[in-house]
This record gives sequence, structure tokens and C-alpha cells, in this order.
Amino acid sequence: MSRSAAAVVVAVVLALALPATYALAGGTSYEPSGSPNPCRARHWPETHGTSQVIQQLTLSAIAGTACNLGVSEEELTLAFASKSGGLGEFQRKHHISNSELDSAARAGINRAIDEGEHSNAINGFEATVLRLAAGAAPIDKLIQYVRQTLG
Amino acid sequence: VATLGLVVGMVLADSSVVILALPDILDRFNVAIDTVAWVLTIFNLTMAIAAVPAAYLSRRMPPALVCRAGLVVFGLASLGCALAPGFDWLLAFRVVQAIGGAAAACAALELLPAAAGSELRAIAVWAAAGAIGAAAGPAIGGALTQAISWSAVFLVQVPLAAVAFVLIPRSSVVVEAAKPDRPVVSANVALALVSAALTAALFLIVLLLINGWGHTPLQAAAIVTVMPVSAFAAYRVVPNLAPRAGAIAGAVLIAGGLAALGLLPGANWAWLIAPQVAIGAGLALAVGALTHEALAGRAPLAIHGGWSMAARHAGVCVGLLILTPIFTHDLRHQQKAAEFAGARLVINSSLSFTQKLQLGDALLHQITSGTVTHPPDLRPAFRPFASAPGIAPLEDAIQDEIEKAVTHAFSRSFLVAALLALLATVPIALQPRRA
Repeated sequence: MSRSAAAVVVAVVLALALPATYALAGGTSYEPSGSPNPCRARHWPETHGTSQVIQQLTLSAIAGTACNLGVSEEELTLAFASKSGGLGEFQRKHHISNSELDSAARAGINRAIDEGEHSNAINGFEATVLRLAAGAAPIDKLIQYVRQTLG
Repeated sequence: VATLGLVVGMVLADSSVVILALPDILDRFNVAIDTVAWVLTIFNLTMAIAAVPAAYLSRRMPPALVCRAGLVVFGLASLGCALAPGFDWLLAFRVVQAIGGAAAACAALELLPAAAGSELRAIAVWAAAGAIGAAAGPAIGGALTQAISWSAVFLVQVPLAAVAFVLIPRSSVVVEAAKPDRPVVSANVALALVSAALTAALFLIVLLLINGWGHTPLQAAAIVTVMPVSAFAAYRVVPNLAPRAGAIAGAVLIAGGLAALGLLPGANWAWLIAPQVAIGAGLALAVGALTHEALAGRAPLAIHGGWSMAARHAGVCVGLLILTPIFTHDLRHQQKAAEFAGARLVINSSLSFTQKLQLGDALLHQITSGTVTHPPDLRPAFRPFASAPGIAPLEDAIQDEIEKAVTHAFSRSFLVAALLALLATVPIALQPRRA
């Protein structure tokens, strides 16, 4: 093999080996961790006191709403928390009407109550009262409440 | 020979020397990021347009005279850049600088055979000076920006141009105006593609180091020194190869180095060393061999040098044109990804609900109040929670997510650049063999 041919072979081997080494060292997965599926049932940690139960209910409700809207939990949280029209921007981006947001949020709250009941953080009576409240309460007011709480 | 090499190296370094000074220029003139990039683009665009006419000029008039005149224009325009009262003025002086530089570099090629002893040696010196100059540009610019200021990058060229002016060999010979040979299209196209690929290596690495990972310009300059050192070493160590083999080996090495940069496994400067070694060596091999293919045995030398210089700078413009939208899109996308990842970490942390809300608010404030030229400093957001359990690992985890996002934002641009380098092997392979 001539010197020139050998140089090309060495260059090709090096050019393949270098990115392969980087890929094996984790280069293909070195990126921000992806959002978990919000439709997967949320595991509630052990809760102590009403404030922790409310916190878990809120987080589960956001996950449930995100699942129904087909978006990530974090995107919805940031949209709710935004002080500068982030929720409207979010709705426009994903083409979500107020009524769609309303029904998704209602379903999300019901899922949160189910999860709270399954984890024994709330009892059957509390769950029933909360379900009745969620069915009757004006969701836009609840969303406003969550936005105020988050923001 | 050294003086003429200095002229070529200085002019071609100017296509990349300003990259590390861009954040300071942005601050000085208060312009947008995509506007400040014109300081780079306008120089390369003018060089691409002016190189061939400048080469014809150095055939019509004594090359020593053209080289001196080019150096005067280049030197005065460099002074103008350093003292520019406004951003428009800076751009205007960059245009003049490129015209003067093109004239000086093309005329230098006309003078080199007599000084170097042979045409082949002249081509080798011209190619090496240009390649090492371009590779060393960011490092030199970074060191000057941090040690003195952005204007020093331009000011330092004034005495260099003056010294070269004095030392240029005195010759009033006008070369015969014979009908020029046709330019070697395949070699020049390959040179343009290699240059487009190198845009990523020369520009994006420093952006990643300074704007992404928060290194100072001086640290970045030290890290990117690996590339010109590797290029220089490759010129000295690699034996003379057949030009086609050298060009293919070089383009493949550049592609490999860029692909590795597209697959960085961590946000640590050490990961940039091996790819830079490959790219530096590839740059020396490919640019040397392709310049040889474009120039050797072609008359007149200056005009073919003009074509190859035009190809290189057109390649840089094409590289900027292709890579900038990819990079800006990915950066925006990764900013969102980092925001979501950060929000998730805060939501799932062991902090109390109130603390989560306060921390989220503080983090958002730090991100939005930071400057566009530097990564956000999140530490102040964590300070009020210093005693909260689990805050230190949370801070590390969020920082880690941001570094991952920033690094990943560059991946696709590096991979596209690697493809451009690989594409350069096509015209090289299709090039007809010389007798």
C-alpha cells in the first residue's frame, strides 16, 4: 500500500473512531432529560398535613390536565405560572379553546382526586366532596386560583 | 518568504480573528446578535467578491506595488475599524479592509515564487500561511480582546501591516499578461465546501466555550489554540502525500472531528481537544492539497490564487448562511427544553410548595435578566434557600440540565458541518487525474 493510500485509510479509521468513542461515552444521549408521560399514574409521596395534600392534588391535576391536552406537565405549569400572558400564548400555540381547557382541567382534577384516594392521602368522604366541588365549581376561577398560587 | 507569509496569514486570519471580540462589539455598539455577525460576514463576502479582481490587478501592475498599496489600505482600514464611531462605520471599514487584504494576499502570491525559490514551494507557503492564519485567528483575537479590548484585535494589525510594507521585496517587474488558464473548478468547489465546514469549527467552538459554557475569551483562546498547533504540526510531520489523497484524508479528518463535536458527551473543554486535533490536521492536509491542486501548473499564479481565495471566503459565507439558522433554531428549542427540565426538577424537589414557587420565580428572573452574550448565573436564585435540605443537589441538577441543553444546541450544526466536509470529497474524487 502506498504512503498516500495508507494516509487515507488512517484518516478514515480516525474519523470513524473519534465520533464512535464520543457516542459510546454518552454523546448520543447528552441532552436535557425529556418530559415524562403526564398520562402515567402519578406516585404520591407520603403526605403530612393539608398543605402537602393540596400540593400533591395541584401537581396531579396539572399532570392530568396536561395528559388530556397532549402537552407536557412542565409546559402547562410554566404557562399557568406566567405573569405575562403565557397561558393565552400557550393556548394559541396548541390551538386550545377555553372550553377545551375547561374540560381538560376538570378531568385532571378528577384524576388527582382518584390518585389522592388511592394513595390514602384523602379518604372516601373527602374524595366525594371534592369530586362534587370539582363538578360544580367554575373551572376558570380554579385556573385563576392555580395561576395566582403558581405566579 | 516570512514577510509574504505574514501578509497572507494576517489577511486570512482576519476572516476569523474577530469572532471572540463579537460579544464586546455587541456591547459597545448595542446591536442585535444577528446584526453583529455582519462584522464577520461582510469581510468574508467582500473577500469572496474582491479576490479575483484584485488578482487581475496584481497582473496589470507591479505586484510589489499592489501588495504595498493593499497593505496601506488594509492597515488604514484596520485603524478605522478600531476607532469606528458607529457600527455602520465598522462595517464600512471591514469592507475596505477586505479589499486591501485581497489585493495584498494575491500580490504576495505573485511575489512568492521568486522569494521561495520555486512555484511549488511558493504555493505550499501561501497555503500553509492561509490555513494556519485562519485557524489561529480566534485564539489571537480572544487573547487580545481579554488582555486589552476588542479594538486591539484591529489595532495590532496596523504595525504588522507597516512592518510588512517595509519588508516587501522591491520589484517593479510587471508580469506578462498571458491568457490565463481556466480555474480548476473541482478543487475550488472542494475548497469552498471545506471552508464552509470549517466555519463551524472556527466560529461555533468559541461560541460554545464563551456563550454556552461561560469561559472567558482568554480561556477560550487557550483552548482553541489546539487547532492551529495541530495544523502546524501536521504541516511539519505528515509526509508529502499525493494531493488527491491529502485532500481526501484532510476532508475526512475534518468530518470526523466535527461529527465528534456533534456528539459531545459532556460540557467540559477537555472533550474539545481530540476533535480539534483532527480538524487542525485535516485543515492543514485538505487546504494545502486543494490549494496545490487549484494552483500548481496553472498560470498566472495570482489569478488562480484569487480564485482559491474567493472559493474559501465564499465557502465561509455559505457555511454561515447554512449553519446560522440551524443553530439559532436549535438554541431556541434547547432553551425551552432546559426551562422545562428545570421546572420539572423544581416541581419534583423536596422543597416546600412555597419555596418551590419562590425559587421558580427567582430562577425565571435570573434567566430573563441575564445578558444575551453570557449564560445566566443562577447562583443568586439559590442563595435564599441555602439552608433548605436538598438545595445543593437541585442546583447541580439544574446547572447540569442547562449545560446539556446548551451543548446539545450546537450538535446539529456540527453534524451538518461534518456532512459539508464529507461532501467535499465528491469533487475531489471526480477531479480528473493530472498527467
